[in-house]
Amino acid sequence: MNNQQMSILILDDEPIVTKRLKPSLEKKGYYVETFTRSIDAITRFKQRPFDIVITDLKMEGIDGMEFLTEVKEMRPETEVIVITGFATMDTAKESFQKGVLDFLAKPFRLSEIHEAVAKAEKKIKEKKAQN
Amino acid sequence: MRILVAVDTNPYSSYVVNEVGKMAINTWSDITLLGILDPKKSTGKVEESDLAKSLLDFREIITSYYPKGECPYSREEIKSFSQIKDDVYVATGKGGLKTLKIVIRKGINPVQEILNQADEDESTLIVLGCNKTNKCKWDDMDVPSKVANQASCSVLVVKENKTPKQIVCCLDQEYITQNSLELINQMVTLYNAELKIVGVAEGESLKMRVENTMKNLFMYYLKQDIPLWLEVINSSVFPNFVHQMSQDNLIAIWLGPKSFLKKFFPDEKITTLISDAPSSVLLLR
Repeated sequence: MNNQQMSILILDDEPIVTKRLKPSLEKKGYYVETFTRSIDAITRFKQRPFDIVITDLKMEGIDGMEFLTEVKEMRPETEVIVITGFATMDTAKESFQKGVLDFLAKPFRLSEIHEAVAKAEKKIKEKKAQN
Repeated sequence: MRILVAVDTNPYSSYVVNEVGKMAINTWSDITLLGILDPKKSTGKVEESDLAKSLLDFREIITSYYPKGECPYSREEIKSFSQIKDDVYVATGKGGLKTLKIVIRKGINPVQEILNQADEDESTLIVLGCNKTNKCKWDDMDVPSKVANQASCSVLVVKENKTPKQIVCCLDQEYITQNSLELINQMVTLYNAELKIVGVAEGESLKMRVENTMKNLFMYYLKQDIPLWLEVINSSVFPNFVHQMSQDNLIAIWLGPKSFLKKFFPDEKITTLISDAPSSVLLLR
Protein backbone atom coordinates (compact mmCIF):
# COMPACT_ATOMS: atom_id res chain seq x y z
CA MET A 1 0.00 0.00 0.00
CA ASN A 2 1.42 3.39 -0.96
CA ASN A 3 0.86 6.70 0.86
CA GLN A 4 -1.61 8.00 -1.72
CA GLN A 5 -3.73 4.83 -1.81
CA MET A 6 -7.13 5.13 -0.12
CA SER A 7 -7.89 2.37 2.36
CA ILE A 8 -11.30 0.74 2.64
CA LEU A 9 -12.66 -1.53 5.35
CA ILE A 10 -15.68 -3.62 4.34
CA LEU A 11 -17.89 -5.28 6.96
CA ASP A 12 -20.74 -7.60 5.95
CA ASP A 13 -21.71 -10.86 7.64
CA GLU A 14 -22.42 -12.42 4.25
CA PRO A 15 -19.10 -13.52 2.68
CA ILE A 16 -20.67 -13.42 -0.80
CA VAL A 17 -20.94 -9.62 -0.46
CA THR A 18 -17.36 -9.04 0.68
CA LYS A 19 -16.04 -11.44 -1.99
CA ARG A 20 -17.88 -9.44 -4.66
CA LEU A 21 -16.77 -6.01 -3.45
CA LYS A 22 -13.10 -6.62 -2.60
CA PRO A 23 -11.73 -7.45 -6.09
CA SER A 24 -13.82 -4.79 -7.81
CA LEU A 25 -12.50 -2.06 -5.48
CA GLU A 26 -8.91 -3.38 -5.60
CA LYS A 27 -9.12 -3.18 -9.39
CA LYS A 28 -9.94 0.52 -8.96
CA GLY A 29 -6.70 0.96 -6.99
CA TYR A 30 -7.97 0.92 -3.41
CA TYR A 31 -6.41 -0.96 -0.50
CA VAL A 32 -9.20 -3.20 0.84
CA GLU A 33 -9.65 -5.36 3.93
CA THR A 34 -12.85 -7.33 4.53
CA PHE A 35 -14.52 -8.67 7.67
CA THR A 36 -17.61 -10.77 8.32
CA ARG A 37 -17.65 -10.22 12.12
CA SER A 38 -18.05 -6.75 13.55
CA ILE A 39 -15.83 -7.52 16.57
CA ASP A 40 -12.92 -8.34 14.21
CA ALA A 41 -13.58 -5.18 12.19
CA ILE A 42 -13.53 -2.99 15.32
CA THR A 43 -10.32 -4.63 16.55
CA ARG A 44 -8.68 -3.98 13.18
CA PHE A 45 -9.95 -0.40 12.97
CA LYS A 46 -8.38 0.29 16.37
CA GLN A 47 -5.06 -1.04 15.05
CA ARG A 48 -4.98 1.05 11.88
CA PRO A 49 -7.13 3.88 10.54
CA PHE A 50 -9.13 3.42 7.31
CA ASP A 51 -10.19 6.27 5.04
CA ILE A 52 -13.48 4.67 4.06
CA VAL A 53 -15.73 2.13 5.80
CA ILE A 54 -18.46 0.20 4.01
CA THR A 55 -20.73 -1.57 6.47
CA ASP A 56 -23.87 -3.68 6.53
CA LEU A 57 -26.38 -2.88 9.30
CA LYS A 58 -28.08 -6.10 10.36
CA MET A 59 -25.47 -8.38 11.93
CA GLU A 60 -25.12 -10.64 14.93
CA GLY A 61 -23.35 -9.19 17.97
CA ILE A 62 -22.37 -5.57 17.44
CA ASP A 63 -24.68 -4.38 14.66
CA GLY A 64 -23.66 -2.03 11.86
CA MET A 65 -25.17 1.04 13.52
CA GLU A 66 -23.12 0.50 16.68
CA PHE A 67 -20.06 -0.22 14.57
CA LEU A 68 -20.33 2.95 12.51
CA THR A 69 -21.03 4.99 15.65
CA GLU A 70 -17.81 3.70 17.14
CA VAL A 71 -15.90 4.32 13.91
CA LYS A 72 -17.11 7.93 13.77
CA GLU A 73 -16.21 8.47 17.43
CA MET A 74 -12.72 7.03 16.98
CA ARG A 75 -12.01 8.75 13.67
CA PRO A 76 -14.58 11.36 12.52
CA GLU A 77 -12.75 11.94 9.21
CA THR A 78 -13.44 8.35 8.07
CA GLU A 79 -16.24 8.37 5.50
CA VAL A 80 -18.87 5.68 6.06
CA ILE A 81 -21.11 4.06 3.42
CA VAL A 82 -24.00 1.92 4.65
CA ILE A 83 -25.20 -1.10 2.65
CA THR A 84 -28.32 -2.84 3.88
CA GLY A 85 -30.64 -5.62 2.85
CA PHE A 86 -33.37 -4.54 5.27
CA ALA A 87 -33.68 -0.82 4.69
CA THR A 88 -36.17 1.20 6.71
CA MET A 89 -36.91 4.90 6.98
CA ASP A 90 -35.56 4.87 10.55
CA THR A 91 -32.25 3.20 9.69
CA ALA A 92 -31.74 5.58 6.77
CA LYS A 93 -32.45 8.62 8.94
CA GLU A 94 -30.33 7.39 11.83
CA SER A 95 -27.43 6.61 9.50
CA PHE A 96 -27.37 10.16 8.14
CA GLN A 97 -27.79 11.64 11.61
CA LYS A 98 -24.64 9.75 12.56
CA GLY A 99 -22.80 11.31 9.64
CA VAL A 100 -22.67 8.57 6.99
CA LEU A 101 -21.89 9.71 3.48
CA ASP A 102 -24.19 7.38 1.59
CA PHE A 103 -26.86 4.75 2.16
CA LEU A 104 -27.26 1.96 -0.39
CA ALA A 105 -30.09 -0.56 -0.24
CA LYS A 106 -29.32 -4.03 -1.51
CA PRO A 107 -29.40 -5.26 -4.20
CA PHE A 108 -27.03 -2.72 -5.71
CA ARG A 109 -24.89 -2.59 -8.82
CA LEU A 110 -21.11 -2.42 -8.43
CA SER A 111 -21.23 0.93 -10.20
CA GLU A 112 -23.31 2.30 -7.30
CA ILE A 113 -20.60 1.32 -4.81
CA HIS A 114 -17.91 2.72 -7.12
CA GLU A 115 -19.77 6.04 -7.32
CA ALA A 116 -20.24 6.20 -3.54
CA VAL A 117 -16.56 5.39 -2.92
CA ALA A 118 -15.46 7.99 -5.50
CA LYS A 119 -17.65 10.57 -3.72
CA ALA A 120 -16.02 9.64 -0.39
CA GLU A 121 -12.52 9.86 -1.89
CA LYS A 122 -13.28 13.30 -3.36
CA LYS A 123 -14.55 14.56 -0.01
CA ILE A 124 -11.51 13.21 1.86
CA LYS A 125 -9.10 14.81 -0.64
CA GLU A 126 -10.94 18.15 -0.48
CA LYS A 127 -10.73 18.12 3.32
CA LYS A 128 -7.00 17.29 3.20
CA ALA A 129 -6.39 20.11 0.72
CA GLN A 130 -8.12 22.58 3.05
CA ASN A 131 -5.91 21.59 6.03
CA MET B 1 -30.79 0.24 -5.56
CA ARG B 2 -31.73 1.90 -8.83
CA ILE B 3 -35.41 1.90 -9.70
CA LEU B 4 -36.78 2.65 -13.14
CA VAL B 5 -40.45 3.63 -12.96
CA ALA B 6 -42.16 3.42 -16.34
CA VAL B 7 -45.38 5.41 -16.40
CA ASP B 8 -48.00 6.81 -18.73
CA THR B 9 -50.93 9.16 -18.14
CA ASN B 10 -53.41 6.45 -17.05
CA PRO B 11 -54.60 6.30 -13.41
CA TYR B 12 -52.74 3.03 -12.70
CA SER B 13 -49.48 4.96 -13.02
CA SER B 14 -50.46 6.88 -9.86
CA TYR B 15 -50.67 3.55 -7.98
CA VAL B 16 -47.19 2.74 -9.23
CA VAL B 17 -45.76 6.04 -8.12
CA ASN B 18 -47.28 5.61 -4.67
CA GLU B 19 -45.71 2.16 -4.36
CA VAL B 20 -42.36 3.53 -5.44
CA GLY B 21 -42.75 6.40 -2.97
CA LYS B 22 -43.14 3.85 -0.16
CA MET B 23 -40.12 1.91 -1.41
CA ALA B 24 -38.04 5.06 -1.73
CA ILE B 25 -38.71 6.25 1.79
CA ASN B 26 -37.15 3.00 3.08
CA THR B 27 -34.40 2.45 0.56
CA TRP B 28 -33.38 5.95 -0.58
CA SER B 29 -33.01 4.50 -4.06
CA ASP B 30 -31.95 6.40 -7.15
CA ILE B 31 -35.11 6.78 -9.21
CA THR B 32 -35.79 7.41 -12.88
CA LEU B 33 -39.36 8.36 -13.82
CA LEU B 34 -39.72 7.40 -17.47
CA GLY B 35 -42.44 8.33 -19.94
CA ILE B 36 -42.62 7.40 -23.62
CA LEU B 37 -43.98 9.81 -26.20
CA ASP B 38 -45.20 8.54 -29.54
CA PRO B 39 -43.49 10.90 -32.05
CA LYS B 40 -46.48 10.61 -34.41
CA LYS B 41 -48.83 11.94 -31.75
CA SER B 42 -46.62 14.60 -30.20
CA THR B 43 -45.31 17.44 -32.28
CA GLY B 44 -44.97 20.28 -29.77
CA LYS B 45 -42.40 20.91 -27.07
CA VAL B 46 -41.76 17.94 -24.79
CA GLU B 47 -42.31 20.01 -21.62
CA GLU B 48 -45.75 21.07 -22.83
CA SER B 49 -47.01 17.50 -23.24
CA ASP B 50 -49.55 15.95 -20.83
CA LEU B 51 -46.97 13.26 -20.16
CA ALA B 52 -44.38 15.80 -18.95
CA LYS B 53 -46.99 17.36 -16.65
CA SER B 54 -47.88 13.93 -15.22
CA LEU B 55 -44.20 13.11 -14.69
CA LEU B 56 -43.66 16.38 -12.82
CA ASP B 57 -46.71 15.60 -10.65
CA PHE B 58 -45.33 12.09 -9.97
CA ARG B 59 -42.02 13.62 -8.88
CA GLU B 60 -43.95 15.79 -6.42
CA ILE B 61 -45.76 12.71 -5.07
CA ILE B 62 -42.48 10.91 -4.38
CA THR B 63 -40.86 13.87 -2.64
CA SER B 64 -44.04 14.56 -0.66
CA TYR B 65 -43.48 11.33 1.28
CA TYR B 66 -40.68 13.05 3.20
CA PRO B 67 -40.98 15.67 5.92
CA LYS B 68 -39.43 19.04 5.06
CA GLY B 69 -35.66 18.94 5.31
CA GLU B 70 -35.45 15.15 5.23
CA CYS B 71 -35.93 14.47 1.53
CA PRO B 72 -32.87 12.88 -0.11
CA TYR B 73 -34.01 14.13 -3.54
CA SER B 74 -33.80 17.61 -4.96
CA ARG B 75 -37.04 19.54 -4.63
CA GLU B 76 -35.89 22.31 -6.92
CA GLU B 77 -38.58 23.37 -9.36
CA ILE B 78 -38.08 21.95 -12.84
CA LYS B 79 -38.76 24.41 -15.62
CA SER B 80 -37.32 22.69 -18.67
CA PHE B 81 -36.04 19.44 -20.12
CA SER B 82 -32.57 19.01 -21.65
CA GLN B 83 -32.20 16.96 -24.79
CA ILE B 84 -29.30 14.62 -24.04
CA LYS B 85 -29.44 12.69 -27.30
CA ASP B 86 -31.79 12.02 -30.19
CA ASP B 87 -35.31 11.69 -28.81
CA VAL B 88 -34.22 11.50 -25.14
CA TYR B 89 -35.06 14.38 -22.79
CA VAL B 90 -34.03 14.63 -19.13
CA ALA B 91 -35.06 16.89 -16.28
CA THR B 92 -33.61 16.88 -12.79
CA GLY B 93 -33.22 19.33 -9.94
CA LYS B 94 -29.88 20.46 -8.55
CA GLY B 95 -28.55 18.99 -5.32
CA GLY B 96 -29.99 16.12 -3.34
CA LEU B 97 -28.23 13.14 -1.82
CA LYS B 98 -29.92 10.79 -4.23
CA THR B 99 -31.03 11.05 -7.85
CA LEU B 100 -34.64 11.52 -8.87
CA LYS B 101 -34.72 12.27 -12.57
CA ILE B 102 -37.43 12.50 -15.18
CA VAL B 103 -36.75 11.04 -18.61
CA ILE B 104 -38.95 11.32 -21.68
CA ARG B 105 -38.06 9.13 -24.64
CA LYS B 106 -39.71 9.53 -28.00
CA GLY B 107 -40.32 6.20 -29.70
CA ILE B 108 -42.93 4.01 -31.30
CA ASN B 109 -42.00 0.90 -29.31
CA PRO B 110 -42.50 1.58 -25.57
CA VAL B 111 -41.15 -1.84 -24.58
CA GLN B 112 -37.83 -1.22 -26.32
CA GLU B 113 -37.58 2.31 -24.91
CA ILE B 114 -38.12 0.99 -21.36
CA LEU B 115 -35.53 -1.76 -21.83
CA ASN B 116 -33.03 0.70 -23.33
CA GLN B 117 -33.45 3.07 -20.39
CA ALA B 118 -33.04 0.19 -17.91
CA ASP B 119 -29.79 -0.82 -19.61
CA GLU B 120 -28.47 2.75 -19.69
CA ASP B 121 -29.31 3.30 -16.00
CA GLU B 122 -28.13 -0.19 -14.97
CA SER B 123 -31.46 -0.44 -13.15
CA THR B 124 -31.90 -3.01 -10.39
CA LEU B 125 -35.67 -3.00 -10.67
CA ILE B 126 -38.22 -1.84 -13.24
CA VAL B 127 -41.63 -0.93 -11.80
CA LEU B 128 -44.67 -0.41 -13.99
CA GLY B 129 -48.40 -0.64 -13.59
CA CYS B 130 -51.48 -1.70 -15.43
CA ASN B 131 -55.21 -2.01 -15.05
CA LYS B 132 -56.74 -5.25 -13.78
CA THR B 133 -59.75 -4.85 -16.03
CA ASN B 134 -58.09 -4.58 -19.44
CA LYS B 135 -55.74 -7.59 -19.31
CA CYS B 136 -52.88 -5.41 -18.15
CA LYS B 137 -52.32 -3.58 -21.41
CA TRP B 138 -51.03 -0.11 -22.19
CA ASP B 139 -53.31 1.26 -24.94
CA ASP B 140 -53.87 -2.26 -26.31
CA MET B 141 -50.17 -3.11 -26.18
CA ASP B 142 -48.77 -5.84 -23.92
CA VAL B 143 -46.16 -3.49 -22.48
CA PRO B 144 -45.93 -4.85 -18.87
CA SER B 145 -45.71 -8.52 -19.84
CA LYS B 146 -43.22 -7.89 -22.64
CA VAL B 147 -41.02 -5.83 -20.36
CA ALA B 148 -41.33 -8.53 -17.68
CA ASN B 149 -40.29 -11.23 -20.14
CA GLN B 150 -37.49 -9.35 -21.85
CA ALA B 151 -35.81 -7.30 -19.11
CA SER B 152 -32.45 -8.39 -17.77
CA CYS B 153 -33.24 -7.03 -14.29
CA SER B 154 -36.14 -7.71 -11.91
CA VAL B 155 -39.58 -6.33 -12.79
CA LEU B 156 -42.48 -5.44 -10.49
CA VAL B 157 -45.88 -5.12 -12.15
CA VAL B 158 -48.18 -3.19 -9.80
CA LYS B 159 -51.89 -3.88 -10.11
CA GLU B 160 -53.39 -1.78 -7.35
CA ASN B 161 -52.76 0.08 -4.12
CA LYS B 162 -52.92 -2.90 -1.84
CA THR B 163 -50.48 -4.00 0.84
CA PRO B 164 -49.82 -7.71 0.45
CA LYS B 165 -50.09 -9.80 3.62
CA GLN B 166 -47.90 -12.53 2.22
CA ILE B 167 -45.10 -12.62 -0.31
CA VAL B 168 -44.98 -15.98 -2.04
CA CYS B 169 -41.61 -16.61 -3.65
CA CYS B 170 -41.05 -19.39 -6.09
CA LEU B 171 -37.31 -19.70 -6.23
CA ASP B 172 -35.16 -21.83 -8.43
CA GLN B 173 -33.53 -24.59 -6.44
CA GLU B 174 -30.39 -24.87 -8.52
CA TYR B 175 -29.11 -21.35 -8.48
CA ILE B 176 -30.59 -18.66 -6.27
CA THR B 177 -29.10 -15.25 -6.91
CA GLN B 178 -28.06 -13.00 -4.06
CA ASN B 179 -29.85 -10.14 -5.86
CA SER B 180 -33.18 -11.96 -5.79
CA LEU B 181 -32.86 -12.79 -2.07
CA GLU B 182 -31.97 -9.19 -1.32
CA LEU B 183 -34.93 -7.86 -3.27
CA ILE B 184 -37.25 -10.25 -1.43
CA ASN B 185 -35.80 -9.05 1.89
CA GLN B 186 -36.52 -5.42 0.97
CA MET B 187 -40.11 -6.32 -0.01
CA VAL B 188 -40.69 -8.22 3.24
CA THR B 189 -39.34 -5.25 5.21
CA LEU B 190 -41.38 -2.75 3.17
CA TYR B 191 -44.72 -4.52 3.51
CA ASN B 192 -44.05 -6.16 6.88
CA ALA B 193 -45.46 -9.20 5.11
CA GLU B 194 -45.21 -12.92 5.82
CA LEU B 195 -42.74 -14.73 3.64
CA LYS B 196 -43.52 -18.04 2.00
CA ILE B 197 -40.87 -19.78 -0.06
CA VAL B 198 -41.95 -22.45 -2.47
CA GLY B 199 -39.65 -25.05 -3.96
CA VAL B 200 -40.66 -26.77 -7.16
CA ALA B 201 -39.62 -30.41 -7.49
CA GLU B 202 -39.78 -32.80 -10.40
CA GLY B 203 -39.18 -36.44 -9.42
CA GLU B 204 -37.71 -37.93 -6.23
CA SER B 205 -34.01 -37.12 -6.81
CA LEU B 206 -34.76 -33.46 -7.45
CA LYS B 207 -37.09 -33.40 -4.46
CA MET B 208 -34.13 -34.22 -2.17
CA ARG B 209 -32.07 -31.43 -3.70
CA VAL B 210 -34.98 -29.04 -3.39
CA GLU B 211 -35.40 -29.97 0.28
CA ASN B 212 -31.70 -29.38 0.89
CA THR B 213 -31.92 -25.93 -0.66
CA MET B 214 -34.99 -25.23 1.48
CA LYS B 215 -32.99 -26.17 4.58
CA ASN B 216 -30.28 -23.69 3.60
CA LEU B 217 -32.88 -20.98 3.03
CA PHE B 218 -34.46 -21.76 6.38
CA MET B 219 -31.06 -21.30 8.07
CA TYR B 220 -30.45 -18.06 6.15
CA TYR B 221 -33.76 -16.56 7.27
CA LEU B 222 -33.40 -17.88 10.81
CA LYS B 223 -30.13 -15.93 10.99
CA GLN B 224 -31.91 -12.85 9.64
CA ASP B 225 -34.66 -13.31 12.24
CA ILE B 226 -37.34 -13.44 9.54
CA PRO B 227 -40.11 -15.99 10.04
CA LEU B 228 -41.01 -17.93 6.93
CA TRP B 229 -43.20 -20.70 5.59
CA LEU B 230 -41.64 -23.34 3.41
CA GLU B 231 -43.45 -25.55 0.94
CA VAL B 232 -42.32 -28.00 -1.70
CA ILE B 233 -44.71 -28.65 -4.56
CA ASN B 234 -44.62 -30.89 -7.60
CA SER B 235 -43.82 -29.21 -10.91
CA SER B 236 -47.07 -30.52 -12.44
CA VAL B 237 -49.17 -28.33 -10.14
CA PHE B 238 -46.87 -25.29 -10.31
CA PRO B 239 -48.87 -23.19 -12.84
CA ASN B 240 -52.15 -23.77 -10.94
CA PHE B 241 -50.44 -23.04 -7.64
CA VAL B 242 -49.11 -19.73 -8.98
CA HIS B 243 -52.58 -18.83 -10.27
CA GLN B 244 -54.16 -19.53 -6.86
CA MET B 245 -51.49 -17.74 -4.84
CA SER B 246 -51.65 -14.66 -7.06
CA GLN B 247 -55.26 -14.00 -6.04
CA ASP B 248 -54.36 -12.38 -2.70
CA ASN B 249 -50.57 -12.29 -2.38
CA LEU B 250 -47.62 -10.66 -4.02
CA ILE B 251 -46.22 -13.46 -6.10
CA ALA B 252 -42.50 -13.46 -6.86
CA ILE B 253 -40.97 -15.86 -9.35
CA TRP B 254 -37.27 -16.24 -10.03
CA LEU B 255 -36.76 -16.30 -13.77
CA GLY B 256 -33.08 -15.78 -14.32
CA PRO B 257 -31.38 -17.18 -17.42
CA LYS B 258 -30.30 -20.27 -15.49
CA SER B 259 -33.70 -20.87 -13.88
CA PHE B 260 -35.31 -24.21 -14.57
CA LEU B 261 -38.67 -22.68 -13.60
CA LYS B 262 -38.75 -21.35 -17.17
CA LYS B 263 -39.41 -24.93 -18.23
CA PHE B 264 -42.69 -25.00 -16.31
CA PHE B 265 -43.43 -21.32 -16.64
CA PRO B 266 -42.49 -20.09 -20.14
CA ASP B 267 -43.07 -16.57 -21.48
CA GLU B 268 -46.71 -17.26 -22.47
CA LYS B 269 -47.55 -18.27 -18.90
CA ILE B 270 -45.87 -15.15 -17.53
CA THR B 271 -47.97 -13.08 -19.94
CA THR B 272 -51.13 -14.84 -18.71
CA LEU B 273 -50.12 -14.43 -15.07
CA ILE B 274 -49.50 -10.72 -15.52
CA SER B 275 -52.73 -10.17 -17.44
CA ASP B 276 -54.93 -12.24 -15.08
CA ALA B 277 -53.44 -11.93 -11.58
CA PRO B 278 -55.47 -9.56 -9.39
CA SER B 279 -52.37 -8.79 -7.30
CA SER B 280 -48.97 -7.41 -8.14
CA VAL B 281 -46.33 -9.70 -9.65
CA LEU B 282 -42.57 -9.58 -9.08
CA LEU B 283 -40.24 -11.32 -11.49
CA LEU B 284 -36.83 -11.81 -9.94
CA ARG B 285 -33.55 -12.02 -11.80
